[in-house]
Amino acid sequence: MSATPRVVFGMPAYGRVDTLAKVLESLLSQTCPDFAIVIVDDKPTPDVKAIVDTYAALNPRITYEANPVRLGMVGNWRKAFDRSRVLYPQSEFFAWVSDHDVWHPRWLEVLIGALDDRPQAVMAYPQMQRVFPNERRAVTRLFDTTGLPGPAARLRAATSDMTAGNCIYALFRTTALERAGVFRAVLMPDRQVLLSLCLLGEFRHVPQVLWYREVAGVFSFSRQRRMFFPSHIPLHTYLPANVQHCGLLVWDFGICGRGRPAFGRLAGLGYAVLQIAYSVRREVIRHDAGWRVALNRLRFGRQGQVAASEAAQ
Amino acid sequence: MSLRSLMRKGSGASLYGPRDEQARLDKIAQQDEAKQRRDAEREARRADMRAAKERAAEERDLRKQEAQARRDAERRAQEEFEAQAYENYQQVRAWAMRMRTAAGAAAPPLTGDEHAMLARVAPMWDATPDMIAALRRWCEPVSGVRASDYESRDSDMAKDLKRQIGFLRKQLGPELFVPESPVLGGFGFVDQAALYNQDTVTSFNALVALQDAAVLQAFRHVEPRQVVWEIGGGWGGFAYQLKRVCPNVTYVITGHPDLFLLSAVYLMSVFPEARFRFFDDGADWEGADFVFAPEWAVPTFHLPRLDLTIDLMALQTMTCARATRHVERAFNLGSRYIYTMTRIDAGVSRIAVHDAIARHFWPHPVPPRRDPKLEDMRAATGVEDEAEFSHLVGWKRILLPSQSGQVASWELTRKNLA
Repeated sequence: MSATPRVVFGMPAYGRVDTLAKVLESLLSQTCPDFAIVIVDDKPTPDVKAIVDTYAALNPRITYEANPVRLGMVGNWRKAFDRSRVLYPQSEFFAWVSDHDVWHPRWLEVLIGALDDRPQAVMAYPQMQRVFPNERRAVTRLFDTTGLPGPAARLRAATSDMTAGNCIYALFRTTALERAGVFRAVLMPDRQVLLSLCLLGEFRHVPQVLWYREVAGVFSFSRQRRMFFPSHIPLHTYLPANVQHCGLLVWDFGICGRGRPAFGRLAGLGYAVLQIAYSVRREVIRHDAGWRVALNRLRFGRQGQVAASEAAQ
Repeated sequence: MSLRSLMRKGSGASLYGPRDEQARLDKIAQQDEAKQRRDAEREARRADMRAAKERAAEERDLRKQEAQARRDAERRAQEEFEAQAYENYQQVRAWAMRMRTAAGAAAPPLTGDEHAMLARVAPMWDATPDMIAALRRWCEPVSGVRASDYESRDSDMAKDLKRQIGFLRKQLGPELFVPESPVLGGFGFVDQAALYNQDTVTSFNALVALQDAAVLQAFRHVEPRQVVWEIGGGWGGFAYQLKRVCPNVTYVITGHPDLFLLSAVYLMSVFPEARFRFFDDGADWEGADFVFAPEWAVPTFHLPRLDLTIDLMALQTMTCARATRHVERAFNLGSRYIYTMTRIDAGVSRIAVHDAIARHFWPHPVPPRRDPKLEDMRAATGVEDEAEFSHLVGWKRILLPSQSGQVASWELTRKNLA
């Protein structure tokens, strides 16, 4: 174990006493031991503290911090990253970990290897298995931007094919993540971070099942607003998520010039425009697009026809 | 001079002058020469052909002799191989006999199924060289796979196995597929020069499950040498496959001494270059390829390290207490992973095995890879799915549930498994 860990796991915890021990064990069992765990608890209870203390006694590199006031998901995720930078400023890699999913003991070993092999890559993530209450399903879909010719091609691939909810639990190069900006106050902030990040480097997908994701809850923007911003919902979050993301790309890369030296402000503005174009295209053609769902609900849509036939019976 | 030239000479004398006559004679002479040359060439060709035929006959004879020599060499090699296999058998039998005697009161209590199986393996204690030469055919009591079922290539089973192997090879690539070895009476169907039977497919499925659980990759081409412990060991079929896929592992097998008459003899014969160690031989186990130990030694034996514990339906045949002792021992020896394959229809014993594992390891069921076409085919032909297995990989717990005070998550997993 080196003086400064190469990797920091930032855990934004939220009251999962039932799964926390399993998650911590899966992290502490990593075959690559050069890491620290920073836990930021947004719903602190004595039970959570007791579990963390038990494992902190085994590994001094576990730190726990309870939020005095609830920050919400966006604030908590950002704080997990910020605290890890304060505690371990020299660390090379960072990964967010939840308090309910499970990490394979070889997760870190394999992903560090993937990033070490390819300096152009800014993040690496594995294949995952979805864990339902009564079954498990491996997800075989691959998304990888290794070898794509430039930021525009990577942006197009990311906008069209990326599943942000999986990619956000990747192993990131910390410097690249800092440049991309960490969890802003927008809807689908994970997607926004990843879209910015893909302009800065490649995403690597390792085809081994090394992450087990608990499947729970149904996605909705209103739920996101409640979870992300518990005290005050910003007005701009009522704009379409793509517009919010585009605005941040314009600010980060078009105005602040965070893409330099790889690309300048003008190119940054161009990528922001491309992002909105690709996102609109995606929204139009995807199978679960809003317009399709709405159409299906109408009387002449598929669901409407099924409902009508059931009513007739 | 030929008759035709004489006729030409005679008939042309009165018609042409002396110069013409001379030209005619020259021409005839040339024609004669050409004919003689052709005759000579024909003769030469005939001679060449005769020589070629003779050479071909000689070569054929040589090839026949070589083939005969090769057959003789193969027969001698086969005889030597079988003699060596029998020597291995005698060595293993002497050791197994010692282990049986040494067990005394430490011998584990066997279940009815195990008694029945060992009764059927009992003839191996007095095996003849011919029995050892056809050892695989004597493995039926252990695996339930019968050589006589593989005589017809047109059976539903043949199509089913071919389909399963084709599907998995297509999905994962050919690296994980290890065909049945043809030696020692290896049997099965042949496809693309590969011999396979139900045992081959079962072991292939186990390797696929280990690959899908991201465990197998850690054992391929790595340093330092890793240690794998298989509980039971069967007739050595899975050990053979895993060792082919991951050559740089030390493979430890524990089980009833009688079973080593199959597994140890088989492995010693198919891996003649490998380094073998026996429980009481006093040699260092570090760097060995295979280590054999009786089950009664499990509570006391020590390993340099332990990375993976494997159970292919051995724990489900044991009593609950014995199964638990094995899992506890794997945990205490520091096994990072445990893999178990159980029959879906094993019922209570399957749950008991999973329970025992979940107490010491975090259980992760591995969903089997299903070929929809194969399932349709089975439904259409009415073939009963005999080889339906469940695969579970456990990751070593750092704290046991009692230590961490967390039982909720594993209780939930247990309910799901049930």
